[in-house]
Amino acid sequence: MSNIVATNGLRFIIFVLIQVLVLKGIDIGGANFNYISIIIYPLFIILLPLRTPHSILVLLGFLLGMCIDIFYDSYGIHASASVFSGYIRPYVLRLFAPKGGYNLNYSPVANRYGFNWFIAYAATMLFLHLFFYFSVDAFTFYYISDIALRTISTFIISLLIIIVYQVIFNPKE
Amino acid sequence: MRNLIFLFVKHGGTVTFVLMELLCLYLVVETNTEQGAIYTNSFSVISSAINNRATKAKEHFYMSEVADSLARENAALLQERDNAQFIKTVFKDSLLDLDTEQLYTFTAAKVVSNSVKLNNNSMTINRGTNHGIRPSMGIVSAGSNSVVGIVKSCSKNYSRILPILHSQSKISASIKRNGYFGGLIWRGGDPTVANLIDIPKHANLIIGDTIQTSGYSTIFPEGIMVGIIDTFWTQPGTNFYEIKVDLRSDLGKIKYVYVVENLKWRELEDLEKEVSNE
Repeated sequence: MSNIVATNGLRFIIFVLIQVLVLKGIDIGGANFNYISIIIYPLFIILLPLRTPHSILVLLGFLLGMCIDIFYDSYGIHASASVFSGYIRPYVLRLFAPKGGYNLNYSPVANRYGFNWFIAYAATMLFLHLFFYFSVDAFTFYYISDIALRTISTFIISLLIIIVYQVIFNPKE
Repeated sequence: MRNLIFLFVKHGGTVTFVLMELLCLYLVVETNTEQGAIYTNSFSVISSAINNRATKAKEHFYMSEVADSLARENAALLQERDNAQFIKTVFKDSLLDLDTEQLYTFTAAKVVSNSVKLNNNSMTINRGTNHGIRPSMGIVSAGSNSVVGIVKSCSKNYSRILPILHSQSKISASIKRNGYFGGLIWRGGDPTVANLIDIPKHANLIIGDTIQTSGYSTIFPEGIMVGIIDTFWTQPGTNFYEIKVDLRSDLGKIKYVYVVENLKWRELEDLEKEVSNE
């Protein structure tokens, strides 16, 4: 039990640090095409244990988002997207439920449910998170094509990073 | 309290989600200049839209008052027109200086009951003897300024109208272009058409000609519109045309009317009685 808490706590710190210290500084499109950023911190929510209560998911999402926001200097924007991700996680999981259902003692990892399953689940979560984030960032649906472009370009590159992470570390918990 | 806790256990995620999103929204709007500006702007757009709606709704309630005052004003204007005046000048020499006095007055009234579907239709207005209305005054529609009917009987505050859509109604009407006149009757059925009978066969008729009141009675001033010629034919065995007239006033949706009073009706009636007694 304490093992799971420690793993996730460590993951929380590492993801936040990677996001704000490394990925925040990477500028892919340059000044002319600033539609691409790399966002991998939702992976923390994606990998939380299956038995995490719904409200705790939401609260952890808020905590994670606020930590990112402090460094991005955009209070509330990442937080609202993470809160949203925490809220929809049970519904997305239900969408990808395997035949026998989930074993609540485990985390939703590729090690348990397969690589393809994990990528589909993580991609859905990431996409919804990014769409929500860029919507709140624009704060209006007037620029919906702009939001879509940012979401899709960021989604592709972030998903690649997540796949790389999965292949290298293959988390057990 | 127990129910509240139960609710939280069951829907805790949703409750937390809503609370957290509200908190985030507050933070976004309060601390980010760009999003804050959009929020303030949208908020003022929405609030002004709501204010607009509210004003429109309020206006709707004042509408009937406005309509009443407009009807009164129109009645006053109709009285000023030439066909409502009695020309006092006697044409004795070539010098023409028109001297007129009021011949017709118009009183605004509201229709309180109405029918168009029967063979003998009826209508009631909210003016009666208390307002100077008496039987056999004319009724003119407010919107289109065209003939509606004749007052049949009055109580203190209400009057029954014999509309043109009644088998016993007969109104003297003429063709505006050449002056031939006849009687306007209604044979039942379609409430948008009536028949003009007794137009002599040698009259030159054109479809689309205007039919108006003839002025040969004490009821209507001359030139109040009735309708336009739709079709015409000769009654077999007679020397007269019968004309199908497209009525100008739509009695199916009439709301306001004017009661037309001829101020010299008694004088005219007495004179005509005298002639018929001889």
